[in-house]
This record gives sequence, structure tokens and C-alpha cells, in this order.
Amino acid sequence: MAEIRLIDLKRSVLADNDADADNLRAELKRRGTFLLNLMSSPGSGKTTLLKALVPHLAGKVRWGVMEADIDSSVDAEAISRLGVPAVQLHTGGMCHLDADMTRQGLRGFGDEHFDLVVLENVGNLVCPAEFDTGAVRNMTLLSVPEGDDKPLKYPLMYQTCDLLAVGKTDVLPCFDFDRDRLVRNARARNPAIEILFLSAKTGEGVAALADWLLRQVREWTA
Amino acid sequence: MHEMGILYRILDEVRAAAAANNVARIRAIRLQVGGLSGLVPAFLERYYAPVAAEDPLFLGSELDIETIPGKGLCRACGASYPASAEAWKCAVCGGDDVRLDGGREIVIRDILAETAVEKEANHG
Repeated sequence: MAEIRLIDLKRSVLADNDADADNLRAELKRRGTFLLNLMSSPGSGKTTLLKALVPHLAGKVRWGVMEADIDSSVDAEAISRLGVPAVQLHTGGMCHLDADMTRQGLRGFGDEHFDLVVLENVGNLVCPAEFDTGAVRNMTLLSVPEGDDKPLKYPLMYQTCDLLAVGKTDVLPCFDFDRDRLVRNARARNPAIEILFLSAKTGEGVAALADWLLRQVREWTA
Repeated sequence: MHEMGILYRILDEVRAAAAANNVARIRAIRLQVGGLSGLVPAFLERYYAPVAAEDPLFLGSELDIETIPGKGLCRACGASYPASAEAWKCAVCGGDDVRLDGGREIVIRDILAETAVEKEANHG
């Protein structure tokens, strides 16, 4: 014998991830580790930018990189060749990382202590913006060839980020990319977003990004 | 884009609620999906049956989706207005100091379930 019942749930499906992300941030605070979630499209130059940061951070901060990809470990290998500890996460087809996957990735470093960990999220402007990874700050990298209209097309990415880095500025002369229009578009989505222009190739702006990171680490671990 | 992952999360939540409420079978799940959540209701519906078929608890059940329209709130003039992903200016005063006040939610509102009542009868 069965009875039909309506059971009220009103459960937000992402609420458990949001709570888990808050827990992870609290753990990171206790451990004195600043976690940056770096998001962008595939091919915008995340790994190249991280490689360019290596000499700017050397001796100033103990840092590691978590590379998240659907498959392969070429990114982690590229980073560890430069002497920066790197772990590779495979999302197994998932288009983003959530807080629990991020925590598992951090365990991949073992007992080693880091002041700064950069999580290189799956290259994608949609899904990663929807899931709180537990990072202290979110950064998005937009490369010049992608166009200055990206903040209009992917609003959530720009709303959830604290810093927008515009990369590959060395190719600005080849593209109809308007720096002022980009700033307007990004600020329309998020008036508080900080914006840096840089090029891993020429080195423009890389020191400024390193300074931004070191400042964040100091504030978080103070 | 991540409808499959969301579906698995929904079924996990419902499974937990079913265990807590002496549920024998789920008849329907009522889901509220914000129009700006990035989820495509048609994809959720399409993948629900094959995903639900993996667990007898959900055999023959339905997923009812209610779309919640996006709502903007203007900090300058206080207006509340319908917001789409394209319209990030206040519909009333045209200002751009706006925030989203709804439309991103993914909420399991309730479930229609068959509960086994024999156990309760035994207690009586």
C-alpha cells in the first residue's frame, strides 16, 4: 500500500557547492594559502602567462599551480619544467571545477606549504563562472584576438571576477580591438572589476600582475 | 552546458530526501530554473529519462520545469524590472548600477512521491 505525497524541498541545487566552497576558503585561510581561480577561453594564453610570471614571483612567494583539463597533462608538465610544483586535474569530460574537485587537487600537492596556488580552470567562459571553487579571488584572462565584446556575450564571467587581464596586447595592431570599448564593456558588467593589460610575449604588464598577486597574498595571509 | 552534471546533483538531492521521508518511488520532481542560469530546460528534459533510468527509485518519473524570469534591481532609482542577459541597464531610468535579483536559481521546489505507509500503520 502506497500513499502519494508532495514533499516540499526548496533546495538550491548549487547550495551544497557554495557551502563547500566557503569551507574550503576557511581551510585555506587557516593554512595561510591564497587560492586564485584563473578562468578564460581555451587558447587565451593562461599557461603561457603563468610561465611568464615565474621569474617575477621567484624568491618572493612559495607557489604552485593546479592545471584542470578534460584530458592530457601537457600544461602541468610545462609549468613543472620551470621549477614550479604543478598538479594536473582531469575533469573527465566535465566543463568546470567545483569546490570538492579543487580540494582534491590541493591534496595532490601533499604536505608542501604554498602561499599562493593558482588554479587554471578548464578553458570555458560559461560553466566555470557558475561554480564557486573555493578560491579567494577570481581572475579572467581575455586575449586580444577574442575581441572586446566578450564581456557583453559572457556577462557572468565578468561579474564573478575581481581581475580582468587583457593578454596578447602585442597583437593589438592586427585586430579591431578597442581598449576603451573593452573597459566600458567590462565595467558595464562589473563596475568594481580591476583591469590590467599585458603580454606574456613582450613582458608588458606581467610585473604589474605579479604585484597584484603578491598584494593579494599579503592581505590574505596577514 | 553542464545539464548532465546538474541532473546528477538533482537526483542525489532527491535521493537523500527520499531516504529521509520513507519514499518508495518518485513520481515527479518540480524544478525551478532561472532564465539566466545558463541551463537549457530542453536539455534537462531530454537527458532526464536516461539518467533517471539508472535508479529504480526514479522509474517512470517526470521532471517538471518552471522557468523563473530574470529580474533586475536598479540601485539608483530602486526599480525592479524584467532582465535578460542582454539588458544590463535599468529599464526605468536607464542607469547601469543594477544587480540581478532573480533568474539564476536552480531550485528543487518539491517532489511528488509514493511513500510506503505500512511501517507507520505498524506503529499505530
